[in-house]
Amino acid sequence: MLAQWLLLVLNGLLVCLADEVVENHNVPQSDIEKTTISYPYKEYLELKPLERNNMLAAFNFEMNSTEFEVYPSQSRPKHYSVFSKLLGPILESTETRELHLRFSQAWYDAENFGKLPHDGRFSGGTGVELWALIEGDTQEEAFKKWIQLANSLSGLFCASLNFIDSASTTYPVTLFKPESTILEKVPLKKNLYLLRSALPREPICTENLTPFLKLLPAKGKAGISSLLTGHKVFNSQWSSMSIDITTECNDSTHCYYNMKQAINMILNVPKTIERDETPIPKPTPGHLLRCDESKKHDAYHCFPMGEPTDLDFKLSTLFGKVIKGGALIAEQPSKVCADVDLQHWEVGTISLAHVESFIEDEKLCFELNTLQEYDLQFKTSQSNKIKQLDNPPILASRSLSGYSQDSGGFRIDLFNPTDDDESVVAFETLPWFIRPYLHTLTITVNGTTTYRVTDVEAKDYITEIIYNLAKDRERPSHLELLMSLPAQTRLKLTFQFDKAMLLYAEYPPDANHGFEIEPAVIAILSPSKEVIYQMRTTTALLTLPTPDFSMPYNVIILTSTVMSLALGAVFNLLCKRTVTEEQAEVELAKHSILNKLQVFKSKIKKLFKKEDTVTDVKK
Amino acid sequence: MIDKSVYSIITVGFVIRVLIPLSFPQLTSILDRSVLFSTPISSYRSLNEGLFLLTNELNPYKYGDLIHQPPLLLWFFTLFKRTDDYLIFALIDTLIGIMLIQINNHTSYKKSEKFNSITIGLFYFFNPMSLLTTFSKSTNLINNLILLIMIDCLLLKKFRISIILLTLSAYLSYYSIYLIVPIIIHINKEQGGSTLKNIFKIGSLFSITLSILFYSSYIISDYSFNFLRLNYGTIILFDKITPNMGLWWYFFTEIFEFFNDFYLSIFNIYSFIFVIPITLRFPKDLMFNIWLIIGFTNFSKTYPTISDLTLFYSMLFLFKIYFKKLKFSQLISYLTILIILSLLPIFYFVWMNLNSGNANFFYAIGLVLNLIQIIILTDFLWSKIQIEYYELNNVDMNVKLSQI
Repeated sequence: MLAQWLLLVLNGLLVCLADEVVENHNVPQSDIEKTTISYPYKEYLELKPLERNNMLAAFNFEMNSTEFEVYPSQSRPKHYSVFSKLLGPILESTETRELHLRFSQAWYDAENFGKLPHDGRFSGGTGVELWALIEGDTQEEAFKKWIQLANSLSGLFCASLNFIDSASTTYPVTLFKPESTILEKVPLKKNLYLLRSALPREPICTENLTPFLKLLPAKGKAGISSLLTGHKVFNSQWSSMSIDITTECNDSTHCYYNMKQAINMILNVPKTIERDETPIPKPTPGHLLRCDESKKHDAYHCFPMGEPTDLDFKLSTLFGKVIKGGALIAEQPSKVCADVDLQHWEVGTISLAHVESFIEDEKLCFELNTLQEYDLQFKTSQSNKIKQLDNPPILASRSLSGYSQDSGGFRIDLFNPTDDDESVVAFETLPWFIRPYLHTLTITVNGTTTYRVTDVEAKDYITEIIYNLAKDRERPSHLELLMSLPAQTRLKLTFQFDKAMLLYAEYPPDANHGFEIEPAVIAILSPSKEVIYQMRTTTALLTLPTPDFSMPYNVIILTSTVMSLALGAVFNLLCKRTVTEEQAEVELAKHSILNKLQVFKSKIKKLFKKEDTVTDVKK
Repeated sequence: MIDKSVYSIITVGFVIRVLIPLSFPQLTSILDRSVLFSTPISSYRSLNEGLFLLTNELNPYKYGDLIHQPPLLLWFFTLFKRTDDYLIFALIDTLIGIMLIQINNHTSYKKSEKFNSITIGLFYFFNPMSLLTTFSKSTNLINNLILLIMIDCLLLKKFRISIILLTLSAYLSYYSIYLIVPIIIHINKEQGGSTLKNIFKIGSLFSITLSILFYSSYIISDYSFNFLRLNYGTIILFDKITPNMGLWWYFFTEIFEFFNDFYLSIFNIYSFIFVIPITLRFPKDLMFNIWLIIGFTNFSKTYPTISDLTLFYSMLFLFKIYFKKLKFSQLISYLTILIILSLLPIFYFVWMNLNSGNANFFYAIGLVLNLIQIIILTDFLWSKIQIEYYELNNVDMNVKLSQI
């Protein structure tokens, strides 16, 4: 019976397979590559030469999930299409309506690189940053879900997101505002809470990139994402990976997740090539040294010249790989654009397939619509001739002041290089072991006049302060300074703080290394309070006072000794009987051991004497 | 009673306390940053921060974990401009000096057994410890003043006022509540009548005053009782561990978390343990009782500062009679204290700023300071016991005594 049934099933399978084979044979080769089914997915790579032979590579991916109901009346199996199956259930179980994740490393030099790509919308601060919009009845409930979310993402992205707790979570007010259309289109059942946290000490590396690529429909096997490998991405001058998921809705039954993934990085072209050629660093041989021959120049002297300006490289030398065909499941073919000055740069494709180039927004673009391998070649004799960079609308930095381990200060420098007044927000989250004194806040305008925060004039610059006080081991200090920054003005903000001492077990291993303080977020707001441009400062390394970690037993013993000495001394004085020394001697003599021995002796003597008398009587 | 030279001492003392902060305005912040003068519960900068937050509609008692001064104290300072603070502290400290002189005049000791007002005045007004405390603007000074006024009221037999002042002092600093034990016994003895009735009277006055204080604090802190945890919880549970001169900080930094609660209770019991025995041992000498209890709490309290030491050592001069039978020379013990007090900031600086020493140096020298303090305390205690014996038994002062 069973065997028969099995045979039937097998037969059916074979027939199916044969059908498919026949079908495949009938379809011409070119039609496989251009699949008729397309998914809501787009990808786009932009390459832009910057000053000093740097190159910005911006990878952008965007995808949508299939439609679903926000509040499903019955549970049914879900399909997400190109949207990752890993993320969907996490978002649903935690009722997360919006999720933003950033992995960044190194420092973005705004003065050389210009504006941040996409006005900083997809760039994070050093380390990991996470913020989410979570639906919940109360803040406690939303917080519970937030921890659940962080823990799930922690496993997914191999990052220490599980270290997020209430002591690092803030509820931002002016920044990180939600963008999803669900807010307008759907009447929500519960309240929405915006939570944010950052882990500045987290090193970003390959183990974070791999899961990032796994979220893409092509999983890094095809399309522009096939260029990405850990040892190239994280060797860059600066890199930032971002994931932004929003819930877009037409009405409450027609919603879908929109996910934008982006990797922005800046590569130094000569350095990257050099690393490829000589993986083990060696000194440059004499004949390859580039010496300034107008100055003294012989076998022993060499004044180095500036950076070379003639460049000739391929994408495969920068990334170590070629593009393995377009991502054919996308609704539009994968696009690669080079934002170069075409008078001085030559950009060409190297591929077996025919590639049409076209100009779009003054950029030279290519569409990758076959499964063939693609490579791009860049050639220039004047690499310093690049398109005019957009200047950043604000320059900001933050530093620590003071050298003592028990107190210190923060200094934030802001510069508005534009000709317009700006309204700026500085967003700071300080861990609880920093105890800021906001009354010490001072503002120095253009390095000349200094106002204290209590002065009336300070109100011209600091328009509003949003401040949530820290609670030891529970909550960080959350500070949002709303400022108006006049055109061409430098502002210097300073404030002082105390450092708390931690308990013995609270110090991490290598306590003397210090503690990373997460970057401040500086944003420019439009009059309607929308963020126009945002940037992050660097992290700050804070040293805390440390106890001697080898001392616990000594300290316990010594302190207890002093305490018991005091207790004994006072107790004796209060309780003992006071007498003159003569009396004391008499009394002591009574109770001394010698005396007691003598008494004992005499007693024994008496005993023996008695026995003697008894024997006498017997006789 | 107070003659002309005393007036001039008071005036000069006051002028110094006003002029120096005026001419060196940065002195306060320097001293306030030193752990010898300021602790999280008494520092001028946290007071300032609290005032700043309070005036900017952010009630520090409702939300944060930053201000540990009682709400009424904060409210008191909202009445003045920050630029006038030096005057208030100078005034408070001068009043402390005046109160000391007053108490000295009002004690029951014979005239030959007292230092004259000039000595007391000179010692307090030109004592560097009290001067520096004033310049550091430590809010402990207010508590010291209230305690001294209370002692004076007790000596003048104004018992109701003294109970109210005691409540105020307990409200400000918690540890003053220990003093209620000797004071109840003293008042009971002085007033006569039924003991239960007296205790009830004192207790009800105390609790009424305290509830008024708490209720007004409750209103100031925006209808929240969170200030109780912030003010007294911090002192009892030693929440804000910062290095100071006391015994607690290094112990609780280093103790294993498992034992933390156990030792917290031990340390708290320890600070109270001698209050009742001392009261029972010397039922007649209230002032000495109070002085001993203050001394022992200085030794065993969570956040001791120089201002506590100043109170203790200034009150020492009220007991000239006990200087006679001291075992250790006064000169040596004062010199030791002087040396240790100058070493403390040095070791702190070496640990925090130069990074060439570590916490152990500061801790060790603090330990020695506490040891010396307890030696001085027990020395006076022994002297007191001896003198009591001589008087009671009509024995010649030169007879040597011992205890068994």
